[in-house]
Amino acid sequence: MRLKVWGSRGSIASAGPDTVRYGGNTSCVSVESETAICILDGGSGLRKAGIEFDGDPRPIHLLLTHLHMDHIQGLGFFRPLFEIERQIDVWGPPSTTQDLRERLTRYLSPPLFPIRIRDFAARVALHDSPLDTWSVDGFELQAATVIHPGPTLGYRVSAGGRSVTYLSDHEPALGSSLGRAEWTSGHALAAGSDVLIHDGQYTTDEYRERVGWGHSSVAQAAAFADLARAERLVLFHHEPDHDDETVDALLAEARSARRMGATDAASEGMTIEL
Amino acid sequence: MDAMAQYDVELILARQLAGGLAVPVLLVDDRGDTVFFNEPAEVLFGRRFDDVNALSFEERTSLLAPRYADGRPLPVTELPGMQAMRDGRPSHAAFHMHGFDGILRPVEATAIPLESARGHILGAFVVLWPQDSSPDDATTEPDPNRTTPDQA
Repeated sequence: MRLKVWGSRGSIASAGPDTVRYGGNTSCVSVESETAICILDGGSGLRKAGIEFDGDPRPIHLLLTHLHMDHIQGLGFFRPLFEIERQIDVWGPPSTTQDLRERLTRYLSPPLFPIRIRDFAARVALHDSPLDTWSVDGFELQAATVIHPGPTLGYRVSAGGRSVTYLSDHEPALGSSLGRAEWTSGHALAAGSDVLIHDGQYTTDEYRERVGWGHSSVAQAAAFADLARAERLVLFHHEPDHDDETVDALLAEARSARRMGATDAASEGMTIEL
Repeated sequence: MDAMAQYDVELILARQLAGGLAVPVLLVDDRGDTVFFNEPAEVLFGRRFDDVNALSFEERTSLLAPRYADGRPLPVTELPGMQAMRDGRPSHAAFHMHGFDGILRPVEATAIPLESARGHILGAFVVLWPQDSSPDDATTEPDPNRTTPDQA
């Protein structure tokens, strides 16, 4: 598998001279095998992923964790959606009230966006993620509900005995401390992952002011990665107000906090071969 | 529960809510096993949760021995948590139960089913209200017909 980060930022795109190294585009990560492409979230980073995968014959599975704007705003700019007869499967969190198409249509329709889902040239199939394990085109996928406002999923993508867990928006410490694995949101999904991409939006002080907003401090991300015994932690969903130097400092903090494994901070263009 | 397993996130959130409330709360899973009770419930049950940890449905009903005011055993199917999960709606009942300390206490319980976004019943959130005991209602004498914690 080959993992590539197309957008590492949280909440809102924040391009500018202060965010050049880690990037300003919002959540988007691709995981490729020889037979298929999985794309985790459709934030503004999805636009560049679409340029990369334009015309690629491999089937695409787009896995949405939730439908906040920073995770879907790239959809309308994803070139493969405009390829005639291209098959694209979109997976998202289930709801008891509306299906995925109805919920995405709130954004992908006027007046918020000029193009509707039915206007895409590709054959787009929208699915509620099974909240279980399922197989597509050589990938084993697993989804689970995690703690974050509104229906939100984490995903685990596995192939060839290697695994990537993606928890872009996750607040496992809400109302408790990270301690016992069975009472920790996301643990079963992340346990033993080769790569864990995890929310690390805040400093410890910022988290105290934003409890319940659905995100983690880097210290919590490090503690969660240790609890899950993840081999490599990739801090993700960087706070838009954090410049590159701040992310550098948070990465150093996370590295010193971890008791095992490697730690990185996601940056646009980062690739990991698995 | 094996080392890799994890409770559903709805149960995790329910536990966090229960942990912050001042009323006794019992959290059961879809089998009726007790997976958590909070500090106010510890007072009612006469034992700390950390000393008990998870408790199977059979252990709980045997130890707490719920019964009607006239002493007849309360059928386990009539327990509010079980009713709430079976019917998919809130359930309420008044009954007596023993604490782990052997004291019989009158309580009322209201249970709501915890239904996931998938439409699965994951368990029940049971709130307990201790009622004032009258001399006829409560006894500090251990019930000879009741299983003690050491026997369970």
